[in-house]
Amino acid sequence: MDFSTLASAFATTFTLHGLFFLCVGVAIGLLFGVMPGLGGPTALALLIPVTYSLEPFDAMLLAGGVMGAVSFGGSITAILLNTPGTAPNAATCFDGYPMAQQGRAGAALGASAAASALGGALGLITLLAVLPLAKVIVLSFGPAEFLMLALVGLAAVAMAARGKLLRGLVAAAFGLLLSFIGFDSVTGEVRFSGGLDYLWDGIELVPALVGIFALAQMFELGVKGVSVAKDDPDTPLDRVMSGVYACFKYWKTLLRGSVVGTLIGAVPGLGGTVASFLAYTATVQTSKDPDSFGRGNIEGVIAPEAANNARDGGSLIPTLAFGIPGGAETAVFLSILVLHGMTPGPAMLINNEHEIYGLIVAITISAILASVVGLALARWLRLVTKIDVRILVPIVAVVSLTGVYVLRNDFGDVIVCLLMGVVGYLMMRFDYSRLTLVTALVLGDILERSFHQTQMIYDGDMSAMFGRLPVQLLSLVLLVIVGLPFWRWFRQTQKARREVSSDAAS
Amino acid sequence: MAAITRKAFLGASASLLLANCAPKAEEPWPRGRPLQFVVPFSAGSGFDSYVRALVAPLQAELGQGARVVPENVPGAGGSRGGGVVYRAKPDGYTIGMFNLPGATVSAVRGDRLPYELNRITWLANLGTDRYAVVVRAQSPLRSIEDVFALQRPLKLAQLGPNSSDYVCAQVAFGSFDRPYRIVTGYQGSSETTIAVLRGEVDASVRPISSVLSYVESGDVRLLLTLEDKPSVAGVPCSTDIGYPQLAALGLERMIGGPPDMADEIVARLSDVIVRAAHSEVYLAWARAARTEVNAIGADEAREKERELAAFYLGYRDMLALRG
Repeated sequence: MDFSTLASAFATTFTLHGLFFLCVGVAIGLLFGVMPGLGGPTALALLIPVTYSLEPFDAMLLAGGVMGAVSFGGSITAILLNTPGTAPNAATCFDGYPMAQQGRAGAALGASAAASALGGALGLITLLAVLPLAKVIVLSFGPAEFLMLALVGLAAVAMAARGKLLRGLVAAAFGLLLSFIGFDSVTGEVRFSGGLDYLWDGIELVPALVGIFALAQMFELGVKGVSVAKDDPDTPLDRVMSGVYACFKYWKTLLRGSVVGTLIGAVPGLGGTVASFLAYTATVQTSKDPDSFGRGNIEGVIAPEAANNARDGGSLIPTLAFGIPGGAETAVFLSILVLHGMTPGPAMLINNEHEIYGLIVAITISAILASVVGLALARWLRLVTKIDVRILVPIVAVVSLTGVYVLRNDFGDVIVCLLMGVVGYLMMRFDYSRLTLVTALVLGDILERSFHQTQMIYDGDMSAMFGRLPVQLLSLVLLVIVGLPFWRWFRQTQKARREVSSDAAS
Repeated sequence: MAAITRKAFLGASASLLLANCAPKAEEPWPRGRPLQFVVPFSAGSGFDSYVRALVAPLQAELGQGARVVPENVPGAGGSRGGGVVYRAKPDGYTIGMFNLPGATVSAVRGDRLPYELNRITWLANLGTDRYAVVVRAQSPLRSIEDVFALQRPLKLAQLGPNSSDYVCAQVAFGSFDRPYRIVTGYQGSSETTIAVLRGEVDASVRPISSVLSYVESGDVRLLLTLEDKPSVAGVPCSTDIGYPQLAALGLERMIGGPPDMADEIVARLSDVIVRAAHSEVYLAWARAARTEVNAIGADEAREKERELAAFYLGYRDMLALRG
């Protein structure tokens, strides 16, 4: 790594000219993040023609600004309205929204802003640190590892359904069933499409997520007829800062989220949604008080938001090592590079070092900038939770459905969104976990595909995959996840027994 | 009262919307409305970069402040986007890229497509990407002869069974008459490249342009190119080793419009697309993207589509096998 190039990229960024492009990028990123359905890839694709006339470095600042800011923008609506602005923010809803309901929206926004900024910075530090090992990391994750990772994720949510195991299984099975609709990506056959062309590609993730969270929430609010924050405490501003402090207090959660985010980001084929969900479930799993999650535990906001921003750094690892995008956003970003005459590929880091470090700087600064803007606005943003439902519900419903439609210009997406809204609402009413459903929906496709691929690669002998070190490590994680609750239960019974016997002795 | 007002409001907005969408008859094409350019894959894909790079030179060629708006309609291996173009009005305001020969093969296999391929109005073909057999640098397979001498089925990483990529691998290795197995389910061409690099498969049949930078960085090697004359130094081509028919394999960048477009609009569009594809801006992009642009107009593109259909029809039995 060349520190002088990094320093020069910083110097170029911190000019009036550089900051202008960065700020424009941040503003666009926040806006596209806040709009449910739209996200980073859409924003970047729309920016492509704008970057034609720009210098490559300015284009990097603009793109980096968007990439760094989108995820914090998406967390704002996730927290305030239970409406994830982008798909990865869905995990933030689980604890962010209960916090808003309890009148702690300021703290949740503060935590999200700080976690986004710190997660983004940690992700990029990790990126710079592991750049020499980039190729090894990318190449050590194949279909066998994907399969184990999907199993780890599913096991984690299954175990998170303590006490409601049957309901958890029903939700997970429903999610898996939904994920199997459409093309079997291995045989090319279309399954469960009911003769509808729309279902060839299966259930689209974004409309499903917007339905399950945003619309379901609007149905709930509409039926109850109250504003989001039930009571009306005049929340003081220091609550926002308390969220920021929480990030430092729960530094382990922050670090865990960032590591999970960077790692998942580094693996092409897994997206930010997988990153934030795994970070969330990992936090629930390792917490001493897992039952407090889903009820407004601030750690449930910190973990997915840190992961979501750290992923940006991670997804640059395969981009810089092989010129291969780590996710949809990086894919669009690569096409911007090509338009500016740069050739994505292993030589990029040598030929276009200045632009690449510019991008790294831009993503870091924009994550921080977006968070500062967010913190400054948090005081007013949280007022959203006090808006009358008769105004709020129609606005959010229209904006969500428009966002869903605009994404692919397909009315089928709107119908899926509405149907999933009904499903989500019923799940809320009858106390089924939406986290479980969504995780199964996200991981089902990866699970099925990597299972098929692993079988083909090892000629049907699945045991051969356990010869790989990453598979062995992930198997260990899987064992811990499944075993931990039993271990806890065992310890508790032992403790209870000791107490009983010591009571008896005294 | 409130309901009536709302109804009136909705009615008024709907008619306003319709009025906006209706073509303004008095204005000559292509003025007044932006030209919608459908990309059948997501933003950032190979097809997407072809179109987005073409937008600026195409607008310049159209003149009169014309606007060209790329629109990604991904899904169903590119056929959803094709369906959108097929169903559009043939007024010259909706055109799109088509995934050929993937769509040709779907038609040959009798798969259901949301459009009739032979009714598409072909406007141009931006170029043909030739294929090559790729292995990773450390592979024990040093030449195509090593591949032929392999005592077990060769494992190939390819995109889904409905992709052009998969089809070319089937035709090539079917023609070699060697046992092979396709590992598929990879999402996008870069994942296929990574699969080769990871060594979980022996090889892959990939468009040459998509792997050239990896050849230069020393990560992969080419064993054989599927073309008439060798284009990569030191790598034999399929015609050299006695398979001249494989030179017909390629990934096309065909641009088409809805059925029954007016002849004068077809001629004009074909002309501006070919000129835009020969512009300095576009050629510079092509050089950076390591892709060969060799644009042909409407008549030749129509002929190309017919040739492809006849070619793949000859391989119908080979293509019916999956995996």
